[in-house]
Amino acid sequence: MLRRFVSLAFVLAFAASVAADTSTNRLLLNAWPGEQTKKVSEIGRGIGVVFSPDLSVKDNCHFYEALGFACFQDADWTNILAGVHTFNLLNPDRRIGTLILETHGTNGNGLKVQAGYEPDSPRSYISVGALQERLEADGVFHVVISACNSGRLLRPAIYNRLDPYCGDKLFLPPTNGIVNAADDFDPRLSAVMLIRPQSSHIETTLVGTVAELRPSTRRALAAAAKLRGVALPKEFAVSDMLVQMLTRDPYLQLVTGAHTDDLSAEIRSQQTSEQLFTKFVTHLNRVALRERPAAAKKTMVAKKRVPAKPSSKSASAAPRR
Amino acid sequence: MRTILALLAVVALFGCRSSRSDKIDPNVQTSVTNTPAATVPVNPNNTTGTVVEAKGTAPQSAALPTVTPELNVKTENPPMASAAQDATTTTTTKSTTTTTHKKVRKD
Repeated sequence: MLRRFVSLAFVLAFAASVAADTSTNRLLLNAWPGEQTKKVSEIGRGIGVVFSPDLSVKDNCHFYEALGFACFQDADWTNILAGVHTFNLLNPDRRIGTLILETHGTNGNGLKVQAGYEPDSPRSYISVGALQERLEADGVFHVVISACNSGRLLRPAIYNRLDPYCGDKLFLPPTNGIVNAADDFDPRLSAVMLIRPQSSHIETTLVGTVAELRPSTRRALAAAAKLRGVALPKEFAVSDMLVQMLTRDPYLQLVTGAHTDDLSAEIRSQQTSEQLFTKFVTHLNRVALRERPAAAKKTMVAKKRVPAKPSSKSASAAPRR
Repeated sequence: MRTILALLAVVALFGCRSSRSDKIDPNVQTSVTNTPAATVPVNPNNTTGTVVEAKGTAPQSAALPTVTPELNVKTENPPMASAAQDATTTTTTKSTTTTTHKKVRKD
C-alpha cells in the first residue's frame, strides 16, 4: 500500500514538472538562457535592448549596459541596425543573439521609434520582415517584440512592407524614413524567430530610480558600470514584459509566428505593473546578494594567505584569537 | 512489479512528449499560414537588399492629424485617440503608502 502511494506521488510530481515546462519557458531558455546569472554585470549578456527615445529616460542605456545588455536608443531604425551590426563585430565574446524591442507598435501598424509626438519629431518605422532580413546576417536569431498590439504587426498585408496610408492617427510622419523588406524577401526562409506576447495588448514601461535598490545592489551596479566605462544614471525605464521575461513570470505567455487582426485596448493596471517593478528590484537585489558572498569569500582567503608575522616590537600586529 | 511497469510507461510517455517539444525549429514560424509571401509581388528588377523609403515623406494620413489634447475623448479605441497624452502619460508621485512610478504606454 505504502509502495503504491509513493509511486503515485512520484508520478504526480513528475507530471507536474512536465506541465510546468511550457512552451514559453522553452522559448526563453533559447532566447534568454541566463536566468541563474550570478553577476549583476552578466544579467543581460547576449541580449540587446532597443529603446524608442520617448519611452526612455536620460542615460537609460548606461543602466542596461551596466547590467550587461547591449543597448540602442535612436529615432532612426537604420542607426539601430547599424549599431547592432557594429556591436556584434566589435564584441565577438558578447554577441547579441536576442533583440528586445522596447518600441511603439503604432496600434499594430509598424514598429516605431520616435523622439516625441510632434509631427516633425525624429521618427522612423520598420516592418517585421525587414527586421528578420537585416538581423539574420548579424547573427541575431530571436527578436522579442515588446510593443503595443504586437500581434497585428505580423499581419500578412504589412509583414514586409508597411502601409504609411493606413489612416491610423498614431502613424505620424516618418521623418527618418521607413525600413521595409526587399520585395523578394521570403520570411519562410528566415532563421530569425519573432517572439511576442500571446495576448496582443497595450504594453507599458515604468520609470524607476536606482535609489530604490539596496545599497549593496547599487554598489554592484556602480562597479559593473565602471567596468563598462559608463556612469550609472539616477533613473531607468523598464517594461513589464522585460521584467516578466527576466524573472520567468508564470503569467507570461509567449508565442511565435501567429498574427491577429484585432486591435486591443487592454492594458495592465498600475498595481500589476508596480508588482512587476517590485519583482525586478527584488531580482536585482538577489543577484547582487549572490555576487557579494563570493567577493567576501575571496577577501577572506586572501587575508588567510598572508598571515601576520609575529613581531616582538608590535604586539598589536599579531592575529587576534 | 505492475506498479513499476506502469511507472515506466508514464515516464516514457512524458519523456517522449517533452523531447518532441523541446526542439525549437527556428523556422517553425514558416509553417504558419499567415506568412505574407503569397501576397508579396516579386520585383525582378530589385535585387538589392532592404528597401528604405525616402526620409521625410509624410504620408497623407499622417499629416492630417495634429494630435491635440482635445482628441483625448474616450472612444472605442482609446489608444488611437490619446497619442498626445500617451507621450507623457500617466501619473504620478507618491501616495501615502507606496511609491507609484511613471507609466508610459508603448502604442
